[in-house]
Amino acid sequence: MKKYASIFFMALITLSLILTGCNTAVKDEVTKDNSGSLLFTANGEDFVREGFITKDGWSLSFDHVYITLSDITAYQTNPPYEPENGPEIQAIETVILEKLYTVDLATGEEDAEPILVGEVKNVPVGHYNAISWNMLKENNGEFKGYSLVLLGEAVKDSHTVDFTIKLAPEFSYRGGEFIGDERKGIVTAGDIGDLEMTFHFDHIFGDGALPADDELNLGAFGFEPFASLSQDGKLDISMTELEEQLTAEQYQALLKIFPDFGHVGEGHTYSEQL
Amino acid sequence: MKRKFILALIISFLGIGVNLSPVLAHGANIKYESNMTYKIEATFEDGAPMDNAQVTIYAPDNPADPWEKGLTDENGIFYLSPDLSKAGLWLVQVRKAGHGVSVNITIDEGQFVSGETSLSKAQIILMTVSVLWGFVGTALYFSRRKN
Repeated sequence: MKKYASIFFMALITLSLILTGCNTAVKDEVTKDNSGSLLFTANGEDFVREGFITKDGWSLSFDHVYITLSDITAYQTNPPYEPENGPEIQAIETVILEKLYTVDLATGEEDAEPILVGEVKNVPVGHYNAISWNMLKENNGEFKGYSLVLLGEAVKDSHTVDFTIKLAPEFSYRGGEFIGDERKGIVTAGDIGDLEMTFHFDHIFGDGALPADDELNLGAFGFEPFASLSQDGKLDISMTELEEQLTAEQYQALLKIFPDFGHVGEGHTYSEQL
Repeated sequence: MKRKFILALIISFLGIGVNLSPVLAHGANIKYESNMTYKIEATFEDGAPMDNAQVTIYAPDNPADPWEKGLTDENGIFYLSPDLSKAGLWLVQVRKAGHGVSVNITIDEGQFVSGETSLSKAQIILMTVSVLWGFVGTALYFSRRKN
């Protein structure tokens, strides 16, 4: 009897140890697999990659388009963020890409992917359905003091202008879901999701493919005001110089572009001047 | 004699019971489930309709893949009939000429209701047995009275 009792208790102890070990292994596996990575990209779209014709007939091509971004943040929100309702984002999860980043939106060939700004690893899984970022002045290097620098060539009829336009608007942008060919921001265990900050350069220069009275073209600045400041086919101008040389009305029209400059794909953002 | 009479009665009523089944099978039944259609109307900021715009619908149980794709009509209108059994947030995106807009539609638990009015097999069997037993009982009663 004693022999059987001791065998029984040994078996019970052994079984307990096995079960405890299994639970620990399962728990570790669950903890490790409950995260992924999130990529943040910036996109000037085909307007920058391929060039385009402005509302006032100038054919633009870009060698470089430098933009400086900071405080890039992704959110899982509930309820979903609607920029029309203001700046408040009710986040249940937040991922921040720290530091200041300057990227060249014209990098790569015509079919290039959006530009990778940065990656955050080990982020909680879920759907990141909102994003915010700031466009700020660069704080060092050749283009210190500017948030957006455009380098390229403009051609109209027999006139050519090689331009370097150094702009310094500082704005915050807050967007909801990306609106485009695919849904973005979905992070699953062990996998990578991505979010995109989109910049619509047709809002600055207009689009010659649209009617002159299209709402976009009516609000756009165009290239003609820049071209009128060029000398001997060259234009190298800063924001301060633009304020001095453009008319007051033209300068205000230029400033009015930037609240609508940042998008999430084709989705609008809520913007504030900093 | 009495036993033969009772047996004959039972057999004949069994025959009636078997014939009941096809009669019941020719009965009518109704299935029902809730259905809801949303009218989606998309316009540009100046109020012009987003006609022939791309529409993409995402269901809450599969946020990555479109549940439905279509186009708005000439008035910028699209009709959405979501699967009400998929409760949660549905996303509707409408895009045209570089402009896009989206809206979330909430389907609550319990919005989906379904049912059916036809009898189950168990109900049919029980009804048949009950009727037969009623006949048998009646036959036995009258046979005892005669005696």
